[in-house]
Amino acid sequence: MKRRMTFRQWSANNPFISAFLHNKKAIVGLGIMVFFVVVAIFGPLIFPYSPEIDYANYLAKPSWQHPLGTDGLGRDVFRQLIAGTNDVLLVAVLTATITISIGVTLGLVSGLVGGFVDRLIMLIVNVFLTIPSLPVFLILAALFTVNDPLSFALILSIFNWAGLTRAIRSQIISLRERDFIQICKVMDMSTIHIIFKELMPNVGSYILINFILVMKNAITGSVGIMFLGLAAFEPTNWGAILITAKDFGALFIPAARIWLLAPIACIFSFQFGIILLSSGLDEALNPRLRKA
Amino acid sequence: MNDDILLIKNLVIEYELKRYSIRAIDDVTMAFKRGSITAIVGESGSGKTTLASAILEVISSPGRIISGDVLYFQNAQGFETKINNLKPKQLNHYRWQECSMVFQGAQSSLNPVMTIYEQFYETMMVHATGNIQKGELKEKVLRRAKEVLEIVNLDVDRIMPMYPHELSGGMKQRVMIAFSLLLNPKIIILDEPTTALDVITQDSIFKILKNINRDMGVTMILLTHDMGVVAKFADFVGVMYAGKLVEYADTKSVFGKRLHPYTNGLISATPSIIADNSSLKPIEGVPPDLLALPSGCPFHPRCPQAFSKCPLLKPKLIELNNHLVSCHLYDKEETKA
Amino acid sequence: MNEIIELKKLHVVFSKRVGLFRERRFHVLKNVDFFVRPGEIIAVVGESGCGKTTLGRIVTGLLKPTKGEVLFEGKPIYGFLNADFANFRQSVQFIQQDSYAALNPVRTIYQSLRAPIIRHHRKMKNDEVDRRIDELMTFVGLNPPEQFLVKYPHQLSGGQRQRVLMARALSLNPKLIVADEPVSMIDVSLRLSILNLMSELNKKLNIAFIYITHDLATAKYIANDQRIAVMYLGEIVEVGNINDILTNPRHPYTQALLSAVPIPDPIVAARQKDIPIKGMNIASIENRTTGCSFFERCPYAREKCQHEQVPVVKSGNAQIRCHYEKEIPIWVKPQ
Repeated sequence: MKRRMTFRQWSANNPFISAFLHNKKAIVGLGIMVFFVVVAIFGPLIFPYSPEIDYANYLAKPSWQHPLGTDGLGRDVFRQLIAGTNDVLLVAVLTATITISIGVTLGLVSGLVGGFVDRLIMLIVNVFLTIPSLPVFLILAALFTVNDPLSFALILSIFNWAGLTRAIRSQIISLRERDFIQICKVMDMSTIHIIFKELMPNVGSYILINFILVMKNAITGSVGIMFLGLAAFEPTNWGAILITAKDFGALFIPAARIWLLAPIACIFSFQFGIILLSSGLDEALNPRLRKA
Repeated sequence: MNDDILLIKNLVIEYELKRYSIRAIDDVTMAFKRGSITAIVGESGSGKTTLASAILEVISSPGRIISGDVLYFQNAQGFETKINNLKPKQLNHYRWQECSMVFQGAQSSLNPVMTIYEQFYETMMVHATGNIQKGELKEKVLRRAKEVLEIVNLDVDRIMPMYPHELSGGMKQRVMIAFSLLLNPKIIILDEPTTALDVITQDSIFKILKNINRDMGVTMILLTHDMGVVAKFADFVGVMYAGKLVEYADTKSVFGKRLHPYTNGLISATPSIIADNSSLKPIEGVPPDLLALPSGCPFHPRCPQAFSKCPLLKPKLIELNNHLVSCHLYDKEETKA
Repeated sequence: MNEIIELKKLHVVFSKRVGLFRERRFHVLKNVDFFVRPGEIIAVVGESGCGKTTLGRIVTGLLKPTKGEVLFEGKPIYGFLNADFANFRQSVQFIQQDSYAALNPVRTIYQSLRAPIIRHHRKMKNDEVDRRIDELMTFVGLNPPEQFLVKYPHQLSGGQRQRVLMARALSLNPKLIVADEPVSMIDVSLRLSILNLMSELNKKLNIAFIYITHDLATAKYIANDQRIAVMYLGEIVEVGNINDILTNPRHPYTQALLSAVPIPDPIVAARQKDIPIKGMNIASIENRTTGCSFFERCPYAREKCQHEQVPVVKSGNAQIRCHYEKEIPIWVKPQ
């Protein structure tokens, strides 16, 4: 028998995958997210957006040509949203990647090395956890201009990495003493093996779920930052559309309501997808791990 | 029938899960004699813990009693109460005042943030009848606590103000036994009361239990898988396998005759420090998977004496001279010579 | 110097800080002298808290003693250079009590078995490794191997997992395996088959075993005619041939233990006498360094026993720690 199983065999046998596939929440959540990814990649190709101003057409009602109508400057709302998906996803994924990388690395080092290094890292973590986010954002906004997704992501990461580091550290500390890690020492396994083949797979599900949750926080955070006018932003970003609409006074103009509601709906459904997916993943992965 | 304090009659209990049901107790009929110590022996999948839960009427969903009764005869007059039909208020009275339980692993039975005194107080308060003044209740609790703790050889003044983590394993278990005696029950169920305790402490705890049984006439139901403990302390033994009662009789008869091949296998698989170990043999095969039970008698794949009838038909419980067994070997009318 | 592992005058003390200035010291192992010869099975028996698990961790190198020497094939392991230490590690393996905790829950059995083999045989080709894995699985009775290799630990029964642990320990070709309560979490009807497997490993492959347990009956079964060491509160109180000790125990604690073990025979059980021991509570392992650890519960204890260090004396065919060996009565076995 060929031990390197085919992917199909592996996924059929793997209880974690089958638990995931049987979990409705996870599937629906995943579906929603995949939908947005597809829109981000292919949307602009099928429905390209040009920011030309067309005063004559402003606040038009939804029609075949403009499925969600036009905004105050006559631009197509639907295409704006599609173009914006890209930006939103980029910021979310970048933030999550940066946060997870910092969190896992520092958490691992802190948990495994212990001693002085551990205490130092935890000190930094505690400082970051106690800093109030708003004043810091204001200061940072005054000092730097944020106009690309990367800097946006970096700033959003500042307030997300600390909690994760601490959580990973405690997972590592508790795993460290478990029998199956102790036996690795008796069997003279290398430290690299212990970290990557024994410890990491065990925190893997935790990391995955947190990746998704950080994405959610990033989106909420980014909309908040934009609302406060602390960042220059890509005008097609959903949050940006929302703010432009609000500034235009769309709240009080009936014809403009769609312009206001459409980005809200997008943000809402994306977040909803994330929540479903993370909740479903949690259900699917954890009971297996806890089974005795 | 007056001799029995508890009668389980044709009990069927199933756990209903999303895609299938598990039958944990399959048509069990068993009687417990008043004032006796009855051991229920079984390994994983036997259903003994479910049976104990049924006696206390604490089967938690998704478990359900499908059919059958648990009958309680409070006194020798024979007036029976159907436990599975009791209303919540009556159940409250039944639990702990008529029948109490000592759970496996005292760790999780004691509240870690309350002192022993507080836990005794709480239990007695819940079961107090009528209007009792706070001061009166306190006195009552202290008095009763002293009585029960003395029975288990613990010093009241020392134990009452302590928190569970300050007690050793043996002491915790003794506190649990004292707890179960608080309201003077007629029956105490003990679920593996001495696992995780050393042999010497185990022995002293069983001696205490035996004294309680003898002096106070409390009927005891002991759930265990340790045949040594059964031989030393039980008057009667019921052997369970895959949710069925396969053998039941007084201890000497069960060990002596070992009518059911499973009983025989179990005793033959238990090493002893005294006996010659050359006749020991493990039981072949694997424990029963309740999701995929073998057809007919659930033990037949592992049974050294299985024959043609065994995979076809479930054996019935037969009585042979006060010795109950559920096996086709003894089904004389239908077995061919 | 024939022994695989020898422990000399070993002390293990754990300290816990209590309050700002005080420390509580727990003498988990006291004055332990212990050895294992090639191919032998020795049972280490005692109740929880006696230090037997700590002994196992010392032998496998997971714990460093506070005082005393750990010798592997005559040489102290804490003076070893890397290559020698690696050799020691490979030669002494460990089978833990909780078979579920001893396996990585997110790795298949195949992955868990493959890792140590690859680590120790870097030059082996993939199909050679696979063949070796199949061999090991068959040897421990898990047949057909494919059925079990694709599974995760939680999908196997306790007995099957124990066998996997044995296969894993075997894969390194050890000289000694320390088994800590290998059958206590397994159904009674299946214990013998696991014990028989261990016996087979011992006889066929000449692997020595340290069998740690609190169950004297299974100790007798597996150690057969070999040695047993009885531990109490961190000390080895009696050591010698298991058959001799079980028929003629000389240390008062061993006698108490044997009187307390339940015998699966109601007729004999009824004849068991009371246990010759004082008091019910086990003393704590705190702070006691002088005198006999059994002092508080020994029915034959005297003044000297509380304070003077206890010598190891020969008694019958065994060695015990006692001041008044000659005055300990002969233990009578229930018939």
